[in-house]
Amino acid sequence: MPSNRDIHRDFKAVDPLPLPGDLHQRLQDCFEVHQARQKRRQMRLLWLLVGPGLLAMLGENDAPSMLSYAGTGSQFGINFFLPFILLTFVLAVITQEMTVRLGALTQSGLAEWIYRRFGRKWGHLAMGDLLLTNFLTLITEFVGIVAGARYFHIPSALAVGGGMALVMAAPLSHRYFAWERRVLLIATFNLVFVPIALMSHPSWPVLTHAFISVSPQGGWSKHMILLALSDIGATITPWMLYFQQASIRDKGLMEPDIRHGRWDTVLGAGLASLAAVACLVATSVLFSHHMNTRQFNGAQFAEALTPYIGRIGGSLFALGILEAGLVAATTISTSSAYVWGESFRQAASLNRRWSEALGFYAILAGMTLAAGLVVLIPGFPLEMIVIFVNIIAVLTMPPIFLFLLILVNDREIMGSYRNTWWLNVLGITVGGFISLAGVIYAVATML
Amino acid sequence: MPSYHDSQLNSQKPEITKLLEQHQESRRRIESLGLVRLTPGLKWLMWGLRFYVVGMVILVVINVMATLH
Repeated sequence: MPSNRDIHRDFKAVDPLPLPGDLHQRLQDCFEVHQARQKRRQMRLLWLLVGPGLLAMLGENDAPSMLSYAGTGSQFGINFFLPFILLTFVLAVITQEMTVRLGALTQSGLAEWIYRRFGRKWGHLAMGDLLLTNFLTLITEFVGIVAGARYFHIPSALAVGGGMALVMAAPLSHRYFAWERRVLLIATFNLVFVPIALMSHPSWPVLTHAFISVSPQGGWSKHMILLALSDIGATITPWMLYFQQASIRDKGLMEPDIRHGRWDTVLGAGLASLAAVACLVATSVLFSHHMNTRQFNGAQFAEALTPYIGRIGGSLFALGILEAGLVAATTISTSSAYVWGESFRQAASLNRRWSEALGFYAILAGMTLAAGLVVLIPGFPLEMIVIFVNIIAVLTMPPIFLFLLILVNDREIMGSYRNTWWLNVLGITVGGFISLAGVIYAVATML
Repeated sequence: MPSYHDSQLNSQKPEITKLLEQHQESRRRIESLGLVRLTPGLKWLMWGLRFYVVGMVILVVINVMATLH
């Protein structure tokens, strides 16, 4: 059986042309996939092709998302919210699957397509929306990193500095595949919420009943609607669309890889929903003890949970929030850099060296640096940003989702892979659901 | 005389060239596409959603200010 090194050597030996760095690396990855497919090595094929979907889904289980699930579980319990969160992940699979097809068929990112098919005006507006929401979200990731680190008495400056260093060091290999595996390794730690949930000794009959409950404990309220909206924003956000499609381009997925791309997305949604539900279940123990957690951050949740899940459980919870912030800071800063490069037709690839994609890496590092420094400003209203960032993500989603729907229905681009009528029904339902959530938010705010 | 390994590599060369051609073909196809023709209904919907976003963001800012004070 040839090792990776053998395959790389073989590729170099038959490499047909001197190619730009990113295309060379991408073709090398495609060659490995091609060889695995030819030899019918299904597990190797899956190993090579999974990644963008897993990272998008686990990356979206970020610090504000986990805090949103924690806030929901501790303030409203698991009734209604348990099936509701699972539903949001189903909606996420429907939206992300479209980016898999569009990305693999065209080897182009979503931002490039918006500019190309809708013009510069719409391209600039979409890019503006994304960079604004990404910057606000990045701030909240560092808030999560600081909150998690605080539990271990790590000073804020050290936590932020460490986070920034890790985000900036991740792409040092100048190879998308290596970057992806490194971030995936950290992202799997998101599943730490599963043992935390088990430590809280949940009642299985109560859990089963929660699956079929249609109204929350304590009834509907304005605050509950805000948290529900925040939970939608914790699962469906614009950066995920841009990130997954750009990652598919950078990874070099092609038409024959679409099936595995879909499995990658479903697998990511399955693991991320498991972690999200586990966080909800773990923190519902605070709801049972009538604890007021409205102003809690990551460390306070960990401290409040310690009497019920033990010191180890509390530490794991704090580590989970810290990890969620770190992974999302990496994926969100990368998605911003991808979008900038695709929008301005600049080199936008983790397969490129610093000197070949200076703008791309400058955006990645610059956004990380700026967001990290904002967190260190004394008196900055960070809690407000954490609460509202998920809501802003939901509210800015409909126009981008419309662009995506139009693109995946475009016969010239998609050919036989364009949306079927039932995929359009599902897509329009998701779009309608997201827009309606915004309207409900507006009505609830004005009441 | 070429070794067995060399002959294996030579047999793979067309496959890599094919992969490269697929990439280049895909790129050529993308480059040939221009702006999409939008129906008036779609244009209205796009502008409607744009105003929706602006309105909602203003609402969020007002909400944040109210919560802060």
